[in-house]
Amino acid sequence: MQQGGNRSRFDRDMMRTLGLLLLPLLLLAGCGSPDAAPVTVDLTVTDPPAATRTVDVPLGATVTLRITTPTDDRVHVHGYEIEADLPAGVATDVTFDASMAGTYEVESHVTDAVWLDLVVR
Amino acid sequence: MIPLHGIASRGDLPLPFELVLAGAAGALVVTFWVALFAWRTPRFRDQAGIELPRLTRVVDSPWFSRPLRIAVGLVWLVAALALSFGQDRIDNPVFGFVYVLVWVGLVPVSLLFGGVYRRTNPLRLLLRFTGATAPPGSRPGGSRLPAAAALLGFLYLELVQPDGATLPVLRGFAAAWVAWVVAGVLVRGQTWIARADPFEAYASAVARVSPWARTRRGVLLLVNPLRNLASWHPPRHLAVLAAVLLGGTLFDALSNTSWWVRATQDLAGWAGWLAATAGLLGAVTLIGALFHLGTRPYRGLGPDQLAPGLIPLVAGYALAHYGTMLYLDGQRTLFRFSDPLGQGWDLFGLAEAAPATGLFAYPTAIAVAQVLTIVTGHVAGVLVTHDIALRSGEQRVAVHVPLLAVMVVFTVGGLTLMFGG
Repeated sequence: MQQGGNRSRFDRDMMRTLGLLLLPLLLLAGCGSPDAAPVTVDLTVTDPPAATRTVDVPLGATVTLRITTPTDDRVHVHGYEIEADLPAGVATDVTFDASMAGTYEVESHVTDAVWLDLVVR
Repeated sequence: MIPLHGIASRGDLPLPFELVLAGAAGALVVTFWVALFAWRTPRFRDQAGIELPRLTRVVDSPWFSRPLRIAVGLVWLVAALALSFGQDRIDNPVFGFVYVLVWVGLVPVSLLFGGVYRRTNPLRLLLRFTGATAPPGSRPGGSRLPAAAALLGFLYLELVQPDGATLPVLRGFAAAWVAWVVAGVLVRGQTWIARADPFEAYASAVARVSPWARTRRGVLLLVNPLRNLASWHPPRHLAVLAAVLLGGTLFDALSNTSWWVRATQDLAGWAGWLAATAGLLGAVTLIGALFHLGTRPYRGLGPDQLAPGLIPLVAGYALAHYGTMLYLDGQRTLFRFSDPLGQGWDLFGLAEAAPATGLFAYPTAIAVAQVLTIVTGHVAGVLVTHDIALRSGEQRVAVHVPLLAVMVVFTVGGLTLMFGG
């Protein structure tokens, strides 16, 4: 059974190594997110809609989407799960705090067209 | 992306280039250091660990087993009711239940707790009269080809099938899944479940990377996960099962790249469907073929014997790629169980709850965790593969290089796809 003893010591060493691999993650998780200046994104929807636009906004900024649509519409900001009615021809503001990093689709819930890929970083 | 539009409500930022480079370099160095210097004799051939007879008695007692089975069974029942009688909207909890809680959640649950899915499999509860809830025998028994085929069917539903997140489509696939398992059990007996239920076959393979095993007498063992995996007598066609899983993740990542989206967005109806189907099958074939090539130099060791080493890659990639989705959309799905039929109910007082999103304030930590998860999966996979490969008695490095190179290709490929965004 001596072999078994060697084996389990070896196994313990392996586990320790794996644990060490995960350390930098904990250190990095301590970094905070900076405050950023507010951002306004102007979006004028055409008929038929243009190709999806990619817009970068900084993490932590207050984002205002100013959307004008040719017909009555309804916007859906994915991930943040914001929905708002958009009366035809009127610039409507949708404001939220971009507190989550990632990419999010901004789409019409009427035509299912994806207007924006919002990249928060 | 389009088939499950609305389920995955966000995407992670592409991995930073330096991280991808560091991860790839790390994978490369560890792999060839292991092959050339560190690992010259098999170490994990036999199952060994700390026996836990007392915990075994608790876990195997009806007082533990029954409430667990019934609780999980009830969740499945509510999901089935939502599927049958709920509203055809994205806030129906059944969509998140299938694509997030079950499909993604079974990976961390199996990694942490071992063979829990098998024990709480709702189809085993349903087929209890056939002896399906009895503890597993010590032999793996039988080809996993039926499960590989069923998994391909699920991946098709998730990644290709248009409107995969609508009730009529999901009902059809759910009915086919139940019929596939139940009919097989009635014809072949309850051993069919382990061979053919896609979720159980997937979960059972991942459970071999957990620190939990059983002795021949059924006593729980606390073991080194690498030993657990490497001492597995793998079932036949495990290589096919692993190729399907890895090919599915490859195609998922590929179909999210801007390159693929641009190439296929103008294809209408049938052509788009054909491109996606061919892409999925092509990805599975490519992975399977590469792995077969890598295993060819070994005499007396086939792809199935070496396939356990692919399981950590599958698990690592699934966690890296879907981890944040499990975090955010998993919470949303749980809340939606408060109103399973879309009747405006609030059974658990969570219908209006907002999910915790604090993790997304730390994109760098997320990216580092993703790279570490993929690389850890790779390192575990390489150690297990190499340990098994050494049992062929081959000491010459040249024999081992092709398979190790294939593993590196899989890992660097995975990192690159997540870098491409």
